[in-house]
Amino acid sequence: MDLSSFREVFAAEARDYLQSLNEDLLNLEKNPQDHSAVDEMFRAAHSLKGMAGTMGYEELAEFTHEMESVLDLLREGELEPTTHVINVLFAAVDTLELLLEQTISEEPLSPYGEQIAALRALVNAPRQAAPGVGEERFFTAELNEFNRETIKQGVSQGYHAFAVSVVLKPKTILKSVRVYTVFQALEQVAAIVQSNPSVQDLEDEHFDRQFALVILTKEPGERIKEIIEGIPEIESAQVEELSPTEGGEAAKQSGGEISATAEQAASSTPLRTARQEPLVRVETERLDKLINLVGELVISRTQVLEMVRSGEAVDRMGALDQLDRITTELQYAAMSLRMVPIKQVFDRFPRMVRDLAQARGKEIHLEISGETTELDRSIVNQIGDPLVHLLRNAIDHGIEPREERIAQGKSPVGTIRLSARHEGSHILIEISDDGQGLNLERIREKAAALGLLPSDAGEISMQEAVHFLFHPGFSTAEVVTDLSGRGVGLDAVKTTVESLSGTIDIESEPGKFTRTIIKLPLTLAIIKALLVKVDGEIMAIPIQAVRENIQIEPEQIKSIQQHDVIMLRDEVLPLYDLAGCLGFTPVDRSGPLPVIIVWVKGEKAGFIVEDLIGQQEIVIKSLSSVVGDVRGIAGATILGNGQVALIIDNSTLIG
Amino acid sequence: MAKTVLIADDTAFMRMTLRNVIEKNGYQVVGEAADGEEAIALYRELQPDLVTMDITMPKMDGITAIKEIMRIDPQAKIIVCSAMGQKPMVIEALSAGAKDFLVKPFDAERVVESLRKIGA
Repeated sequence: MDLSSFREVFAAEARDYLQSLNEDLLNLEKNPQDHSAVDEMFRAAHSLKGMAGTMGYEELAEFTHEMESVLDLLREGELEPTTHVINVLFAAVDTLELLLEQTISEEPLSPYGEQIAALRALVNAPRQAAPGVGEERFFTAELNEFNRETIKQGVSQGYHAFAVSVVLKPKTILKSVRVYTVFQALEQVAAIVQSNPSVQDLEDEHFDRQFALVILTKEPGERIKEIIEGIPEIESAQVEELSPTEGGEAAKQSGGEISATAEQAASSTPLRTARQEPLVRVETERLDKLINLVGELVISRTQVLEMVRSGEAVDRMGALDQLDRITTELQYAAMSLRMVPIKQVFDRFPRMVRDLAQARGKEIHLEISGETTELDRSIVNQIGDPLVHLLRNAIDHGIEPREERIAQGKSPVGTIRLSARHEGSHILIEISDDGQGLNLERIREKAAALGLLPSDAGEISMQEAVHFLFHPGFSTAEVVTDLSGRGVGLDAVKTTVESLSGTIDIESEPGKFTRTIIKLPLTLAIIKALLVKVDGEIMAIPIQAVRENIQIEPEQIKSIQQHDVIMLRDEVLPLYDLAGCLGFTPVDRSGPLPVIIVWVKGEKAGFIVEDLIGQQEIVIKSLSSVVGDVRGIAGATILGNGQVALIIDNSTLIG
Repeated sequence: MAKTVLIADDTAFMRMTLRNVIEKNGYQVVGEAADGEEAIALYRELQPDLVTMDITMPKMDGITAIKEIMRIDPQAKIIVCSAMGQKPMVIEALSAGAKDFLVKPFDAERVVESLRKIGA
């Protein structure tokens, strides 16, 4: 039987099972007595095994079988859900997810022997929390979401990611110090991203003879092996390059900012949302509605045709009104097919926050609300990465260490709230934490150090602080502990949000909270735009980029350092000629000049245009790949009269 | 040519034991120091390829001596020797620049491995 046509259906359902496995594991960890979670997981694993077997995916079936055995013991109460057991299961789910994606895309499978061994160790030694350490088994550090991100970034900056497994000689004395020498030697040439067991366990000698590391380095693998084996008391070292799917591959740079972010998101392993799915699941209700509307449209067409043909003065306006209503509804109905709940992105955060909080030794409660809020598929696909960065910031820099929280009379458990809701034609995503808030003094110092502020500048306002935070290369982390601190900053988050025609803002009260608010349009396909005339051509500017329109007299244009500026109320704004920016003939400055004030990279700037036409909803069409990326142009649209208008990309207009 | 080694330890017995192991394995012990100050002086004078440095010694302890020798010669190859239960001091010595550590009682094989790998 040829089952290949079922592959996508299988994949979609399997992903659902994996997601529920993740969720149930989180629940089980929170509530070890939760039998229903164990039952659910057992069922999910069992179903997956059956499905995979039916499809002929032997490896998947084999792997799920091993998982099922462990879950069975949990269900029978013969195995306690200790942190170790949960961690092994989480790692197994991750592996399964990886294997699934590789199977679906018919890529070669990554080795998964160590995960199987870890699962079997649990089965063979129930009630025993310590991992059985086999001599030959190559065991790796399981990567949490956070470190995967780190590695992904490292790899994109030209580093190699290696899984290193080190075995000490049997008689090694002071194992922890020996491990220290390994770390010391490696740190000369590499960044250690993660260790298994944890650094604390290594220090307390809670391991047998073997430990695993994940490192980023510019050195080749053989050199790393040589370095480690050059250390006394090391029996052997194995170094394996992490495959891109495990570590994340460098973004294949091609189509500018947006595609780069999507690419990165796609490579950060289990990121379901960023996958370009060839199949889309749509509620039947929505399809029915669409079909109904098409039916009405056909009727309306007949009416209009009849009206034109007969030339009789029937109810013309009525017929046209109806056509207008139907097309508007059709537009929304069609759009709703593109809408997906943001749950798709939010779902992976509980796990990420858990991993990250555990790694940082913090206790954090994540509250999610509004996950059913829907927005455009393409936005959902791209908002994941920025949210990861913001959550990571909240965990790393927002929520204080436990002791500090207790000392301040706060609850020892930090809370991060993630919410989404509709507001008009926008969606608001908020991430807030009840942590230490922004440290204005430190931001001031950093800004001064970067030359953004005179060194003798006094106190800065919250608004100024937020402004600095978005400055490229600005990060207030005191110590760069690992690569995470060097990664993409808030400025990149802002860039992504703006590329989605959104805005981002931060509110904070020192000692109390930090709240980041992202405002995104519901869809990218249709936007409100301001139409202007530039050198005889009609151009469209996304309305949310436009701050206001003014009219100035030529005498109001002043010059500072050979650059045109205008005074708008109390502000001095740079002034450009839009036609000039785009390589057209600049406007003749003899009479009153219409100027639009536009946000460009968070700053206001004025642009002289020939004429203002008005607001209109436009459908964005991307420029063909033949044209490629054109600076200052985001795409094109077709106007009511059939004329083509270019859409201005305000973020790349000047610079 | 045989690699040269300087032994620093306050007990004659330990120096003797180490010298025995080291010389049996083709290295040349060029000097013995009984305290940190002497170790530094002899290091300057003899420029040995390797040094074994005890931690607990009179006048100047091994860690201070390691720091001083590393200052004089950042390329110095020092192996720190400790008794059981001196973990924090071993770590301190390693971060001060010692290349390896040995724990008493010495295991001859371990001593040789250390000399070979660090001396390489």
